[in-house]
Amino acid sequence: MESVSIAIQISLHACMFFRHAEFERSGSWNRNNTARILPDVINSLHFIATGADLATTASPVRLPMGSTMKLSKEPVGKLERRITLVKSDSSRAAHNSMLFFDSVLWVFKGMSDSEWSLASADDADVVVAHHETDPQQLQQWRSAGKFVVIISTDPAFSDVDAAADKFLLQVPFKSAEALQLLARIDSLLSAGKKGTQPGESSGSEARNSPVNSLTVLEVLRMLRHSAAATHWMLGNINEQQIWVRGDGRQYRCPAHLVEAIRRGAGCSALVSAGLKTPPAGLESRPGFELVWFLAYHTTTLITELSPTASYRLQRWPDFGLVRTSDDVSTVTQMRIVAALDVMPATLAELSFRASALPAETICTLNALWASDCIEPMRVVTNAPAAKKVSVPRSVGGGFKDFLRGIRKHLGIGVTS
Amino acid sequence: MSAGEIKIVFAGPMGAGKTTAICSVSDVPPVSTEVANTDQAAFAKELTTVALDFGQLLMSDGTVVHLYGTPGQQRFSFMWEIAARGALGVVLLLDGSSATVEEDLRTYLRVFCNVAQSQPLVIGVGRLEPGEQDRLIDFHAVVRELSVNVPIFNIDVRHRKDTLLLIESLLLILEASNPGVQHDVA
Repeated sequence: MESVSIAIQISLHACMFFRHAEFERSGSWNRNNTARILPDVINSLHFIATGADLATTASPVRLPMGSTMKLSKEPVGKLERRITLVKSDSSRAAHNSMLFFDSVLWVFKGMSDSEWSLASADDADVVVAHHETDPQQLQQWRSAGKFVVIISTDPAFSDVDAAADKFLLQVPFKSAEALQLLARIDSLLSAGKKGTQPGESSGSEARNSPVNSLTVLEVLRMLRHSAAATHWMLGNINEQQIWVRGDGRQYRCPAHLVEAIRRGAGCSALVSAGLKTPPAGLESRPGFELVWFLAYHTTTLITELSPTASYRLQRWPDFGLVRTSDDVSTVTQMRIVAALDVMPATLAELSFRASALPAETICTLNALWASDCIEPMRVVTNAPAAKKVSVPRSVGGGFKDFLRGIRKHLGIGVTS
Repeated sequence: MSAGEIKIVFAGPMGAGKTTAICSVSDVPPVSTEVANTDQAAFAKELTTVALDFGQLLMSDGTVVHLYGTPGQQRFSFMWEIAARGALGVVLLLDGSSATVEEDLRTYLRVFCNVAQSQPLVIGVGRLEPGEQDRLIDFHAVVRELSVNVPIFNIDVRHRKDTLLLIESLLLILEASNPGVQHDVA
């Protein structure tokens, strides 16, 4: 029965992903685009099938058009959030955009941290409305403390009130953007925030909070699976805009902001830039750098990681890019990675083997996860053999002394 | 070269920066076996190594670590394997601006992974344009084809600290793999 249930779920999800793929590409339900999006659909089915295999675990599932969500049979202690979708018949595009948002809620039901349920506008915490909705009505909802999400079918709308972009979805938008925006609102609700007037700087402290940084990381990870290199996402660091390319491989920002990012400046939630592209004069940097430092400076273990799970190194991070002027910190990170390269390890095992403080290990593990350098080990009956690298006989018996000597001579590293 | 010496080998195609890397860390003026490059159409450099570049690290306790830079031309490939035998590790340098960089990577990996599977190898990719650093993802894909997992770093060997980063990673790999003292039986 379970396999039948899973098969039915797979079929239903496949149908919804098919429609999502159409909408995300063209903003309309155009079945003539079937051939073009078929690879996406097949990819979706693959990921869904993979997710079904993991249905008994809490491991993250990567969905190409959705959020990185845990598949768990037992949602424990979920908060209920009430949301209302304001119908709009002003245009076919407006109508379809609401239908799409509705389908996002339905498809990903049970997979988010909180439980989103439809409610009346009076009872809702969040109101989703088209940009042509009566501004007075929008004002009333905001005054009542509700978060108002605007769905815009007009590319120029975002220029009208920049502050309103905080809760803006520009059609066509991806499921991931909608989910990420809901997650951001969810965290604000959990923090006791209420919906505010456009222009008010509410949640400025939330922008640099670990919760928002985690949400940004999830988005950045999802972008890696996207081929949307022509689209851009917008974020905010230290009150300045950064642009992240749709495939996650590049970001652009003012040159002086790069150092702030490397030192740990947090990033507000990423939103679609719509049709906008980065202005000239910005520094172009690899996306890996942004992901690494945002994750490294998240000092608590990222929720997708478990302190008791074993992780395996998939690839070394580019330390040529992410090393800092703090040599001690860089060498510690490298030592942790080298220890993980030898053999998969849990957090505690890694900290011990690398002779690193737990805090340092947590930060490094966060960065490795966020940049797809590690993967969780499945439960296996036989542990993988340790990677063996031998010391040449010529080094002699004092290998530790030799290491200490050469490091001291070259002025590098910190001996364990 | 002798069997009992401690050595680090710098390998890679012509123009990747092997000679420069050795010069940046050697304690003695490196012995450079360079002659005029007769193929400037393909490689825009005046000189090229035709035997082995040689440098040294002279440590305070008298230990000497030899640094060897192998010639990059394919006709000298027999020397790559000879030089790498018994080495502390191999630093493979690649020219990121070369059209054949991925093929070069495959070629060298096949040679050095066969020499000694237990020998640490680290890869430094130079001459990547600003904004091209994410190309390392493609190089990792090549490495995975050969079922190995080696560090690949974006570097500039004209900067001493970049060469030191590569050497440090070799040492860390050795250290992580040998909590006690182990010796190569071969």
